[in-house]
Amino acid sequence: MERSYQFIFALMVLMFASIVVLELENVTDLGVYLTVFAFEYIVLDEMFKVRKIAFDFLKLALFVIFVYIVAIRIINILV
Amino acid sequence: MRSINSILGLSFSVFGALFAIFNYFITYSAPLISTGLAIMIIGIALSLIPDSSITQRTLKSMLHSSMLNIEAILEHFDIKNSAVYVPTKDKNVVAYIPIYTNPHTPSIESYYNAPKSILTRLGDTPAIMILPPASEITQSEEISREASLEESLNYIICELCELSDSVKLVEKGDEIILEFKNIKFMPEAARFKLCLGSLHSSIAACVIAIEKERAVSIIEDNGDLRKNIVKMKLY
Repeated sequence: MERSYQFIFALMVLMFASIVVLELENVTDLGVYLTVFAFEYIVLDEMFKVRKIAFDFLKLALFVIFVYIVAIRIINILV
Repeated sequence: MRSINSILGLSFSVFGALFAIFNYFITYSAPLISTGLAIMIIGIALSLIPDSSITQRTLKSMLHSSMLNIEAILEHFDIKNSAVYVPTKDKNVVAYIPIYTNPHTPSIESYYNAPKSILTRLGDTPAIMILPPASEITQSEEISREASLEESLNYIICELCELSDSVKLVEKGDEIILEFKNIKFMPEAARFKLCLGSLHSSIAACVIAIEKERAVSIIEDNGDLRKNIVKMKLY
């Protein structure tokens, strides 16, 4: 299997596994799901180093979401 | 024409987005909304991946035959010198190899000013000009300008040609050190290896020459198939 499809397959397995695990843990906060997805995408992208046909705006968007959610959590803890 | 990946990716992302929106307003179930978002993310990721229009086996055999052709030319002229990969104005790469071992190394300007013919001259030194096996692959439309050099190398060497598992790159001034993990295809062509380096390092030199827009030569190759370390010099 080509590396790019291995990347998609790994992403699919990890994302759906994390949905199952978070559901079993009774997590209802969407932010947690999004943070996990963003983390998984960024890590897998760095691992597989898959070539893209255009600028990877998805990675940027997920990174911004990840930073925003984590920042909100930290502010809530500190304030 | 849209590629299969982009059509499939777009369908996934639209379905995922609609599924997430529907569940957000109707059920407000976090696992269902996140399932929709996951499908959407996978769809977008799939649409960003280029289609491979040629099988890796076909590409490998084409590279091999090109390599054997070059090997025959090098054998005919009994050339034992190392090649310098030079990028051309039309985004192509040519390799110049001096025919005789000359005590006066040709200047780098002579490589850029050399006439574009098989038998050429680098200043006063007679040389041959060769189109390396990957000179056209580096013009692949699927290579975006935003990608880093390491990503380009990984795409062409590991994904497109499937010659090794991964490529790592370290830049030290004018020197580039490449680490190829698990070489999968190493055709026998002793003269080619002596002059132009192994197939994967020759392809890497072409990619580097194109992306850096500078001449490059292979100065060291440890020959290890599991962890092949190749040193290149930029001019």
